[in-house]
Amino acid sequence: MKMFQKALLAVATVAIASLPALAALPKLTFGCDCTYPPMEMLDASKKITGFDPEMIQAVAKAGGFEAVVKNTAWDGIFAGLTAGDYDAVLSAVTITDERARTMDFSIPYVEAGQVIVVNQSVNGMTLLNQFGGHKVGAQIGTTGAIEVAKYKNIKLKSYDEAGLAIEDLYVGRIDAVVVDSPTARTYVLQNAKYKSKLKIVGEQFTDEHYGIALKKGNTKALEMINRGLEIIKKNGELAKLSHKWLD
Amino acid sequence: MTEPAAATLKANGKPSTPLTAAKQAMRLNESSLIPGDSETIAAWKIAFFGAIALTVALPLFRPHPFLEILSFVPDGLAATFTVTLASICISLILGLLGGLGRIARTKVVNRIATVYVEVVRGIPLLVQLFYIYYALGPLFHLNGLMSAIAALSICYGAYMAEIFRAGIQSIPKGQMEAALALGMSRTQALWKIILPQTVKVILPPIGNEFIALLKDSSLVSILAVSDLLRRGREFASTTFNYLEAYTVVALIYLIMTLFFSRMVGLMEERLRTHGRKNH
Amino acid sequence: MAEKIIRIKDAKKSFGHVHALRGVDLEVDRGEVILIVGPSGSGKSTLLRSVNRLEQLTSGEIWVEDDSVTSAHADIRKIREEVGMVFQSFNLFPHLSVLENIALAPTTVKNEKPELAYQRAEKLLARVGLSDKAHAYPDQLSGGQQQRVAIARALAMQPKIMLFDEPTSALDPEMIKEVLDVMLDLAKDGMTMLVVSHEMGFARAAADRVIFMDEGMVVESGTPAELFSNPKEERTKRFLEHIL
Repeated sequence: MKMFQKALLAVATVAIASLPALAALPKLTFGCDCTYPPMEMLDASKKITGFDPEMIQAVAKAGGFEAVVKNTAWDGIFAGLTAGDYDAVLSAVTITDERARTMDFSIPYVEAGQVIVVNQSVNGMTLLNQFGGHKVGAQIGTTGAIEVAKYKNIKLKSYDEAGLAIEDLYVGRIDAVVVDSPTARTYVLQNAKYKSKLKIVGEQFTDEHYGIALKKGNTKALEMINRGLEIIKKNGELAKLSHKWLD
Repeated sequence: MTEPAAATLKANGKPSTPLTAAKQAMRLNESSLIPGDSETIAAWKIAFFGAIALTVALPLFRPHPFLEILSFVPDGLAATFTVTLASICISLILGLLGGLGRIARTKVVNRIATVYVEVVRGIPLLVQLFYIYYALGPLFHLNGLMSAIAALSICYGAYMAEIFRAGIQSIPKGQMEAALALGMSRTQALWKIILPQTVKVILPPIGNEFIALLKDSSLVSILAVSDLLRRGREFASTTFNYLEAYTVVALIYLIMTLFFSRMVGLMEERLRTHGRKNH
Repeated sequence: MAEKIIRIKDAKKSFGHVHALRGVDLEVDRGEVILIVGPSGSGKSTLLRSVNRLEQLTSGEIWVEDDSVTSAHADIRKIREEVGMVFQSFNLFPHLSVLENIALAPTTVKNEKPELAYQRAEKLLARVGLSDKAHAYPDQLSGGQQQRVAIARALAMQPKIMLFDEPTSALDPEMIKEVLDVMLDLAKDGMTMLVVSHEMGFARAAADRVIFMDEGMVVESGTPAELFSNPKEERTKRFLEHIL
């Protein structure tokens, strides 16, 4: 009898102990360059905040997984993806053909485009092709930098962070910055220091869509993420977040 | 960055010649980077010609992406050279002034030089680069390139100052005494007797600092100065050829540092036999 | 012209707690050759080096030809032009040739024309017997040769006084004679010489006076004959026993 009771106790213990494991959600980590307001940044208490981090929590809830966001420097963020440092890159990544060759993208979740930011004293220059012979800054490896690089007569200065480019523009070291419109608006319209000296000129001149980048072939994670995205698109949560952060 | 053995140098008691003693004292910090004897020269040859061979072979046999990388980086290379050479020149001047200041008898001069050396050596170079670029640069209207050169020169100037000081102090006291006993002023003695001997003694550590400066110039890529490293990073971040891009950048740096370390070694040899008309 | 070419009055020198000189008085006549002897630590080098202010006295006074060496306003460079010094470790300038070593001070300090300075340098070199080494470098010379060049270098400034700080102590025995011969020659020519040395042979041949120092004070002084054969003090006797 004693043997049987012991065995029963053991089985019960194992069963109870494995309950959490059975109930646990799959975990996905996201590399994110948190220097890019309003999409992702650190708040005053150094917590990760912004559109992307909030959105991914909503996506995770809907898609049935746990999302952990890791602050990662932009330069090399894709190398980390290939190396497996994280499962996906969630960092206002524009979907491009070039990138799609080496990684998989989720369905698009934000529409954006490049704009030009200049000093308020500059007049009459609204198109990128007018900046020949000038120094134009952009974050390294972004679609903004790619756009500037198309013009051989523009001196491209690439920065590790968008904010550093804006600062150099403010100080007068460069003549313009090309950056995603949501980010441009945050700096130019909301930042106390910059809004009196900088302005956005011209129209958004590219059509871009942000997507979540995954290592090629990671279909399981891709399905979970896309499922979550579809749900929050349909139920209006995405629109609400958009309204909160990007308007 | 190499640390000169500033505080631990002492002139030998009774040297056979003043110069050998001083040189022995300074050799405490000589790394084997500067090729002088046959073993290091052999190793140098392997590294140097091997690197050149690779740099030629890779774009030849795999033009995509190696040839693309090589055509993308030349202006970055020019920027690296400009920054390095300008910084070397200015830091040498600052180093000489700082070293002389450290041994000066006038308290004010001595204090200024000491504070300069202690403060600069207490802050990491990268931090100094950021500080000078973002804090002081706008004040003095320095652009990226000038800020980079200023930061590198100020930082390395402090290390050079310690090398100069240690070199000057490693010259046996008897040299200054003989000069003074002949009626020379301290300044005359410094310029005619001490400093000429100091040059021979400090050439190895100064040579080391040059090589270190060349490598540290890659830090200015953080300031959006379009140097060699930054060009490599830009290429990699748009094409995702990280391995290939950084391989090329590393090879180019290696070729440059090996080349200059050989130059320094040759200069050392030339100085050793300079003026020996009766050999 | 002053009576005494060097006057030292109550010279005291301390290095922290170490009292190197405890009140030395000394007067030197023009052309006198004085040998200073004593055990190590007796202060003889310190005394010598105080004359051209390579050491600064803690108290006391020194005059060279009626110019004060010790006063705060002393023009020490001018005084050093008149006082030549030869060091135990020669201290030749290794980056200059022998001729350049000798001609440097006259051209730099006295602004002599190089041709004149080099001419005189060659004469001095001949005088010390080293004409063939004019373009050699110090590290190519033996110790005795280096010291002879050092003497020539000091003489190039045409000093009135020559100080010798243990000039042969760093030499191998076979080279001592060549240096002492030069010094003897100098003495015969009437140079005022203050010599710190153990070379008793030189003392007997050239010294007018021998001074024995111990523990920072002059214990006894007299002619070589007096001091060596008839030392009055016990300490002198004991010291001479060690050397002679």
